[in-house]
Amino acid sequence: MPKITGIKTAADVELQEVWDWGGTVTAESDPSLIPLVQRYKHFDLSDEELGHTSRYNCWGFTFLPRRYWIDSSDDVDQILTDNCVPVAPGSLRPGDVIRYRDSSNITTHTGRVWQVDTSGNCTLVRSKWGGWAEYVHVPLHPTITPVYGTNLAYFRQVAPLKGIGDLWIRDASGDNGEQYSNAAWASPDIMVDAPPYGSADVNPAFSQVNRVWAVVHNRSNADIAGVRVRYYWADPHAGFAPSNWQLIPGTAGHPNPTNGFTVAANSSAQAPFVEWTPVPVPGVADPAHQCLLAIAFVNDDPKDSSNPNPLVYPFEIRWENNIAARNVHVVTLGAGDTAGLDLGFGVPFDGVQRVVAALRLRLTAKPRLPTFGLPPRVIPPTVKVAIGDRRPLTLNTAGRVELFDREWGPRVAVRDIDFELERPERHYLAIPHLREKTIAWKEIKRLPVTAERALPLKLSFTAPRSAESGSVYALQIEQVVDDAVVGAYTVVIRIK
Amino acid sequence: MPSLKQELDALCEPANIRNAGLASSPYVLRKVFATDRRILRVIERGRTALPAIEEILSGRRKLPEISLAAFAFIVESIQPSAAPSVLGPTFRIRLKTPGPFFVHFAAHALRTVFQLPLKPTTMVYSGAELAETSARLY
Repeated sequence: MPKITGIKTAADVELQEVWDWGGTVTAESDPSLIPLVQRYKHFDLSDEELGHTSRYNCWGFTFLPRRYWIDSSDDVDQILTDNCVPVAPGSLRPGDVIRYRDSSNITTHTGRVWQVDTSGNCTLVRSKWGGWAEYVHVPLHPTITPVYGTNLAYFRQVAPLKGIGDLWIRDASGDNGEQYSNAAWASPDIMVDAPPYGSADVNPAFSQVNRVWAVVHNRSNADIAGVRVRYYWADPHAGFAPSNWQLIPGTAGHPNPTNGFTVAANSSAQAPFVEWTPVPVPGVADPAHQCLLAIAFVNDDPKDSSNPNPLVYPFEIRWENNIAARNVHVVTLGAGDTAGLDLGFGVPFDGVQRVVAALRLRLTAKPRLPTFGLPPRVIPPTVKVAIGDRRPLTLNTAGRVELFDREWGPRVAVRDIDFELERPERHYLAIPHLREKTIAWKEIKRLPVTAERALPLKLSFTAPRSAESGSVYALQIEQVVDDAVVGAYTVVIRIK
Repeated sequence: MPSLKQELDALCEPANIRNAGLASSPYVLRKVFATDRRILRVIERGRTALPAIEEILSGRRKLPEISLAAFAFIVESIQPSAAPSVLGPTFRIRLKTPGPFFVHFAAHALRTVFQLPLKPTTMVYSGAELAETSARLY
């Protein structure tokens, strides 16, 4: 039962009371708490209950992915000071840290915000209760408030701890590696190289051997050896259950998962590639892109405290920074051209037979700086969407769209359609501000989906004859269940 | 009303201490103990409980961390000056393989007797402080 040394906050303050107590896991015995117990889903899709254990406590869960027990609230307060910033209720996001204090203002408990309402307030927390299990619960659950108190505060972790391994793959270009990502389907770190080989391509080539690899980052100050990556593919869907992902078959020279490799401290490494031969989805004129998933790991044992980088949320792309997905398809159109794409709209949860979902479509125009003279005009493509047997509908664009926001002083920017509870951004620039603009948006509600058969989603894109060469648009397709985005797909439309 | 022996036997099983499993730190566990009815009943019995606790601690039975911590809390609450004789031997043994709770509860009681600085807001003592406490036992 050694004391763990060398773990430091961002300000280089060493944590004093980190312990590896060992400890086995036992099942939850309180019937009222059984529904709240969380499970670990292994790569083989078997479940393991995260029951009672003294291997890690709430603080170890919050800050040291299930590895160790932190015994002192002083260490926790130091982490909150050095690695986190306070966040006010009303601005909360999933993944934020919730801190409990008692009436003496002593830190007693922490967890992660699991769910927020549309006003940015915490509705569910995921936390480990001392030596008990890991639960998802309301913030002021009656079992814990007499012990932990009701003095709640929220924080956002902005820097990793030092001295403890942390592998990650970007979920989106703006990802910083912290828990929970808003955009979870457009990883720039998952790459495809279609023949002829030599450089990354935007889309795979069907019926040919493509190379798929990932860039894996290490944001700790210690090398991580024995890293492997598993690569999966899936039919083009908006949302995925873990069982939707198919392991790309390994080949003799390129096994999947990959052979072990080392990611040096505070750097990145290209994982070995696997060879993937996608087949076109039947009945689709323009073969659809398939979705890719990469998981960087050392092993798949949540009880192995010698693992420098245990997974916390296997198959949870948003929550687990070791996992990234790429559900992006690039369509290139000439003026007057039309292209199509077929996607599926399925049940994104294992073991659930039927859900009622919503579909959100948002067409955006990517900003471009003018090379000379007037800024480029926005002449968007016509986007038609057909769901199942329903009549196709057209995504109507707004009137004239300016890509420049002329902001000459501090003001709250006009807010885009609120897909992800993003807070309005405040710009203080005294120059014209370029940003991606929503030019059309539609939500289709109450779509019943069954596990037996995905709802087909047919898309077509037509570039007007007057389309501006070089302009770029993106269609974001989001699947929403109970107001939560459970999956998404992006189609990038380039006008050649 | 349960006998003292029954109460102490019950404390040897942490599940009988309501919410003790919720404690992530010695500070939180101390709060739990301070409101547990069984522990309060034992404390009310006063010094008569001390020999029985000493006997349990000196026995061969391997007790869970939470139970050991509960006994240390009771000793400190009844008569801190009894801590060196009742808790001292177990404290010295457990220092070799410390757990999350007992060594801190015992150190807190012993340091009260030895008039060493206390940490009531964390109830966690560093390795140096534990060694300092142990040295005073000799």
